[in-house]
Amino acid sequence: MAVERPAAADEVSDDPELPDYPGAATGTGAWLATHGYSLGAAALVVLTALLVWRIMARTSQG
Amino acid sequence: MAQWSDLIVKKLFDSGVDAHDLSGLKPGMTGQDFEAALGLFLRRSEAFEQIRDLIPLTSRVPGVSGPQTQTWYDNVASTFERVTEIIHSSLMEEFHYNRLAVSDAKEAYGRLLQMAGLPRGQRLVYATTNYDALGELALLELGARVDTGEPSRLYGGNAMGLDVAGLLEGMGRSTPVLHLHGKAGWYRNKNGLVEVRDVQQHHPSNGTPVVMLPDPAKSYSGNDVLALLWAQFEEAVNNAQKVLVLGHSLHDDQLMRVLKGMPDRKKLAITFWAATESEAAVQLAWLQDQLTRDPSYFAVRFAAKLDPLEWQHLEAWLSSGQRPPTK
Repeated sequence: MAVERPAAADEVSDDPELPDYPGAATGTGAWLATHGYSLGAAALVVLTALLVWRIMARTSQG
Repeated sequence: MAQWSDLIVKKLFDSGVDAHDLSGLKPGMTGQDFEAALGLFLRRSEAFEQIRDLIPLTSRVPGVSGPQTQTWYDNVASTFERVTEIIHSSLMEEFHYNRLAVSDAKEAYGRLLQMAGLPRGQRLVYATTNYDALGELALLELGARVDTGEPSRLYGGNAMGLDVAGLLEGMGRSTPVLHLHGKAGWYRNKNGLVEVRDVQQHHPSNGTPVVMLPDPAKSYSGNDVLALLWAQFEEAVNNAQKVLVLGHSLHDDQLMRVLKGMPDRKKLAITFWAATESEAAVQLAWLQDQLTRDPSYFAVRFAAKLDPLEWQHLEAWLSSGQRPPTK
C-alpha cells in the first residue's frame, strides 16, 4: 500500500469549495496559486489521542 | 495507555534492569499516573546526563572517593539509558502499523466524517498525539489523500526526508495529518536528517526516535519537526470552523495552551468518557474549569460502531453547530 504525496502546490484543486484565484486560468495570477490555499476554511480540525483507542488488533503481548 | 504502560513494566522486569526506583513505573498504573511517572523519569534522565562533566569534580570534596562516585554515576547513567531504550523499543512494538485494526478505524472514522459532511476528509485537518498510523490509514481507506510529510514509499521500505513543513497548504487537495508527538518509525540519523523507517523492533542503530514521550509537562522545544507540526496545529485550530477533540484526556499543558488560545471556544467540541456517571461528572467539571462552558462537551465512546443514541447530539453539532442540551 503506497502513501502518496499530495499533488504539487500549483496543481488545480478539484474541491468546488476552494476559492478561485483571479487570473489563474490565464496565468496572470499564477503567483497567487503557487502559494496554495489560505487556511481560513478548514471545516474541521480533529484532534485524537492515545487514550481513545480501544481498537487494537491484539490487546496483549505474547 | 495502560496496555503500553504494562508492556514497558514487563519489559523492564524481564530485562533484569532494576529500574523501579529510577522510573517509578509499576504494573497497573492509570494512564495519568503512568504519564506523570514517565515524564519525571525522562526529565531526570536528561538532567542526569547534563551533569556528566561535573562528576570528576566530586573528587575535590573531602572524604568523597572520586573513582567510586564516577562508577556510581556510570552505572546509574547506563540504567537510565537502558530504560529509555526499553521505552523506545516497546513504543515500536505497540504502535507499529501491523498491529492496527484498520477496518474498525475505517468504520468509525467513516461514520464520523459522514456526520461532519466531509466523507473523503476534504477540508479536514487531522491532528493526533498517537504514535501509530491508524488514523491516517483509515482516512486513506476512506479515499482521503493523507499527507503526513512522509515521502512516497511502499510500506516495507525505508525512505529519507520527512518534510512536515507546509502540510496545511495542501488542504483541499490532501488531508494534512499532524503527528504532534511524532510517530513510530520516525528516526533522526547522525546527520540530523529524519528518516521514515519501517521497522518493528527498535534498535539504537536506527537513530533517535522523533517522538515526545508521555509527560503532562512535555515540551517540543528544540525539536524542529515537532515544533513545525505544533505551529501548524495552532494555526489550524485558530482558523478552523470547528475543532473536535476526540478522546483526549487533555492533561497536556501544550494542548491546553493551544485550545485556551482559540479566538472563539464555541467552535470547540470535546468528547470524554468514564466508566461511571460520577467519574464522568468529575471529568466534565475539570474540563469546564479549564476551558469554561463555551465549548460543547459530549459524553461519547469512540469505537468501530458509533452508538446512534449516544452520538446524536455530537452529530447535530457536527452537521449544524447545534449545542448539546444542558442537563
